[in-house]
Amino acid sequence: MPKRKLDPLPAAAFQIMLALAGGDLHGYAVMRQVEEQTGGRLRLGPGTLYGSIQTLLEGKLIEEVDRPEKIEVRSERRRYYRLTVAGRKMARSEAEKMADVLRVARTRKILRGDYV
Amino acid sequence: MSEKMYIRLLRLYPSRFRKEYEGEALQLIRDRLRDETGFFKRARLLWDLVADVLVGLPQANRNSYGATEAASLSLNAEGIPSFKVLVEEPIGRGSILLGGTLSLATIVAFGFLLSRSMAHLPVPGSNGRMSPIEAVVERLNRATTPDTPISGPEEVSRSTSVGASERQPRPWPAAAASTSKSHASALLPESGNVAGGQNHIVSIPTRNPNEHSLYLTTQLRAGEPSAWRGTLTDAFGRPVRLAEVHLIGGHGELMARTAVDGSFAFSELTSGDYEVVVVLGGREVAHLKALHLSAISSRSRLTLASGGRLLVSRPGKLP
Repeated sequence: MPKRKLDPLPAAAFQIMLALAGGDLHGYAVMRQVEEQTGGRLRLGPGTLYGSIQTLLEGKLIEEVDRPEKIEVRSERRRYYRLTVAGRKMARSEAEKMADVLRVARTRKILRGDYV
Repeated sequence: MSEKMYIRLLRLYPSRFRKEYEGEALQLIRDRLRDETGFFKRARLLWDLVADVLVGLPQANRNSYGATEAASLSLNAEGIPSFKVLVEEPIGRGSILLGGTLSLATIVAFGFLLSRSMAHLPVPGSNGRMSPIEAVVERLNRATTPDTPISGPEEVSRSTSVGASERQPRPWPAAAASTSKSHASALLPESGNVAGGQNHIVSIPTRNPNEHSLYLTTQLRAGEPSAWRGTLTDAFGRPVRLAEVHLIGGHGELMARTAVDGSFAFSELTSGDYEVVVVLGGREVAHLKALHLSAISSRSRLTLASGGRLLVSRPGKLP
């Protein structure tokens, strides 16, 4: 079941959810956004990107939406994706888990304060 | 070039994935090709595509075939095994055909291997037709002096005792097995009395129906201790030298070592059942649980067969 595939949440799926948290994006824009927010460390290929999108769609964490009207029509057919309420909740939960980890890491003096 | 390559790579993905996202994936590749120019970026793109297939292909397969649903009888609790049923995409006909073909090929190959005895497997250093035991025998024979057939009155008239080897005329003339008169005459001096018995010369057919071998048989008196002589050969009829033939019976254990021509001899044996063990190079290579030595004892040929079997041939019983 999709829920099982997302527990634990894969890094690629989490990054996609974070990318979509800023607004509706199509696949290539998601890839670019992920690359940007990870400082170029994570470049999602088509297989990983759409495999993760497929999983997130099945888990109803993201949904496919119509092309925003402000986007000019181009010849390519693109699908746009949006983070659902459940997806946002899960992303927040995952971020809080990471924040807890960061807090512990700072307490143990593994990380310096400038990371958070 | 990268787009064409990726189109080929996309064929590795499940049909469901391709149906849903092939267009999107190709569009993404076109976007990257448009935006990423230059040798370094193109090389990075190529690397990304290959790495993506390695990472994304298992995930796409899991998504396509891993969509399962707990069966009604399962508890569906974490950590408890339960039956799952496919709910989305069943296994395709191509996969069933491929799996069936591979299974059939595996079964046929396995059956073929089983039908062949392990003894027929070639051994490194052998001519490809020897069993492991025969290969060991061959090596041992090569390690010692060259095999030369021994014949003549001087050789065959030597006395023997229990535990000692005895030189005998080569009983299995592998290449020169013809029943020439000269060969027969070479055997004749051996036909003296053995343990008080009466000697006969018996003609034994060899593998070649036109050839025969001569064996000396001895008619022994019942109840009296008698000698048992024979020759140890491998499956090809070649004599096995320096092997220990152990006879285990009610009297204990007796041992005779084979001579250069593979001959061995036991004297003072009473009739009864014996266990025969052949030891070669310190290792037991053949074993015969029960060998009945009756009052009518004859020269025997022990053959090391495959699988550690020991075949005993006697005059009149050879094929």
